[in-house]
Amino acid sequence: MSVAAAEPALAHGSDGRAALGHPPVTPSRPAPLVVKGAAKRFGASVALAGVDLCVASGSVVGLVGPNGSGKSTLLRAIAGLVTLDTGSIVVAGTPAGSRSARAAAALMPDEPAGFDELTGAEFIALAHALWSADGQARARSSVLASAFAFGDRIEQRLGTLSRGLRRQASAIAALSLGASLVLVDEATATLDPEAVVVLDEALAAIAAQGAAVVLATQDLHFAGAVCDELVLLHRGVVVDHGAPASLLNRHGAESLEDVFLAALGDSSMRSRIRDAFRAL
Amino acid sequence: MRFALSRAVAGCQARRLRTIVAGAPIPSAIVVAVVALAPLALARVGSALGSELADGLDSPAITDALVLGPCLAAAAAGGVLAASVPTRDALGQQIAAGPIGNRSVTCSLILLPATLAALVCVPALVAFALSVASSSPGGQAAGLPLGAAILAAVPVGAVVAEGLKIAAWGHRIRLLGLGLGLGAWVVAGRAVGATPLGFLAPVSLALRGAAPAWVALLVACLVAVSFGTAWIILASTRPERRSRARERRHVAAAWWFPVPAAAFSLLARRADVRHANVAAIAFAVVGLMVAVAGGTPPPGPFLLAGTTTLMGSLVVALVGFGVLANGSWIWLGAPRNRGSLAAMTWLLSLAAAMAPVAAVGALAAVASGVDRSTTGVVVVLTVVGTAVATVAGSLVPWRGEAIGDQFSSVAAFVAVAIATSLAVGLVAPRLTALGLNDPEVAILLCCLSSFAAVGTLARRLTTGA
Repeated sequence: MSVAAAEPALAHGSDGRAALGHPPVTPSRPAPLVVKGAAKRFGASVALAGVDLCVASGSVVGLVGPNGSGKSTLLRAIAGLVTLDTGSIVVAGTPAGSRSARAAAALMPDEPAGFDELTGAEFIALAHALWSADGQARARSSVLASAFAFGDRIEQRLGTLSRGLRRQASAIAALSLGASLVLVDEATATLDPEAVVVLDEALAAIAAQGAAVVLATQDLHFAGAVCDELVLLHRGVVVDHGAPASLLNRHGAESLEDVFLAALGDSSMRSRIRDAFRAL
Repeated sequence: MRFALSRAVAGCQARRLRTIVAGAPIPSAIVVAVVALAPLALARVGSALGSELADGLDSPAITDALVLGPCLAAAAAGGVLAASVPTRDALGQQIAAGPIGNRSVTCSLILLPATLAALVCVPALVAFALSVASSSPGGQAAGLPLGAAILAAVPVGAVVAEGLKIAAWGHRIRLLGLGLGLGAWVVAGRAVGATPLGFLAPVSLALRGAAPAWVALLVACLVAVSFGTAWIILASTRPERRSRARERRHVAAAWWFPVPAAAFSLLARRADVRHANVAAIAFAVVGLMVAVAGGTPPPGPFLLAGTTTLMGSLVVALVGFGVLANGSWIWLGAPRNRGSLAAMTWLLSLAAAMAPVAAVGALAAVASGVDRSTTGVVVVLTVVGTAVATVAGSLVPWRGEAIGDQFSSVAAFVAVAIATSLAVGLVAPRLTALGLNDPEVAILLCCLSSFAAVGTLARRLTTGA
């Protein structure tokens, strides 16, 4: 879907979801993301222990798992912020961390730190300049700012904003770049319900335009609603993966929470914890 | 949009400084006035030093020492700066993940702070060097290469510290490169008859009138540019530290003194603090060896080693408030007296600054001997220096990886140090004239500076970073 730069507006895809004017991805392009045997240790702790992952254009993949399971490390490695000990990550046909791989990926981090003294508008403009974003990026950022109702905060300095608002600025910057791979860490953390709805729609729109989205989240409801495929990580290893519906069927579970606990081999956790607290 | 990052980073740093100035306009105005007057004061100090040394300025030993002393201090300062320079992470994950080269990141992060530091230091340094050199056989013109050599020593120290850091991480090829570079330095110095001065040896010749000043100036400028470039390349191609599986030892005192033990762990586990100390100690030991081998009479080697170590050990005091500010939610939220927290931080900073100075000082005392009064001078310098660093670090917090914090805090330290030196220079002689003897004046200075440090820390803990 193309969007006129002068009149930014949400276009609509065939499923009725909004599309954000991302350039269409042609089938001849390399896969946005291929991860093979990714392993990383931090001192004595193992963050990733041989993760394989392939993400196709137009798909939304959710990384879920307990705290410390390696979700953020994997996203940071894909973004080129962490070097793997072994294994490889290829982003749009080039090794992660290379300049072209960085140019192809946009990251919305969990912790939106840095540049406290810039205003939201200046930060977004900086991201556009660094990624050499085209004129469409400004139009997309206007649409996103309007959707997040961020317009009246956009001239405020980032350091004066709450963490949730900073994440909105970060989301506008990352999602407006038109990158072929969008990485979102702790997608819904600190965002208010309205912002979560906007993020949900924006990610679907980006995917509809052919970009690949990889998000890490603890919000299983959000993950189930947004993602085409879920990857369950535990102690740096993929313990299960599949479409949300197929995971539910395979585990005979009623909710993704039950799937999550079953995949971790701890289905009786809830009753065990309840008993432990009762015993206090 | 080639300079978008540099503009954004410099904009952030400038706005931060503006906020600090707006929050404390009178102290800021005083610091600016003092920095503006510093060249005049240092010109007077330089001319007094030049007059005292005038008779010996045709001797290679004296001119070599005149170049080596400040250059060693500048190299230690360069090493400390290099050890603490922010990495790509300072940009925050989102921008750090952008398609920007590491060299651009390094240049962007240091551009404005380095320019400001140069504006503060260069006029005072040139005024000092010109007035010292005016009594030398080379004449006042020889002061320019002397000033340039001191400036050039900063990137030289930075390159050595960067090389040592990478070598310590097990990258042997870089260690080999560092060894070759040091070899070339020694060979160049040996060829001119001043081994430790290396490529900067012509500056000593120019002071003695044995070489044209412009040649020495050209050489010093070439050293500055080439080592500056080498440092930027090294810093921007710094390999990732190899992960090592190691158990973190618990602090034994944690059960008995939980708050001091936590504060101590926070300070001691900071990589920038450790690296700055290692770099300064390395330069101090090298300087000590050179001074002893060159037959420098006591207490010269002790003073040289002690003050050079101090350049690195003061970093712990400079980061103190930043460490507290990072965890302000727990420090300020806990039912604790902020005055006692400030006093504890001050004592920990002082102990941490004193320890390396004491260790290297003991080594120097064994190697060359020292008297009580010189020991006292180094102790007072350590206490007052730690206080100055604490005040500067409280005014312009060094919060770790935030943009430009390190350099901005160091620039604040330089400004507060210059202001303190001038104040002490004005007040101390008057106290002596009132009948106080030197030890009493020294104790008074230590007490006043300690009160100032604790007071500033406590006030900043109350008002927040």
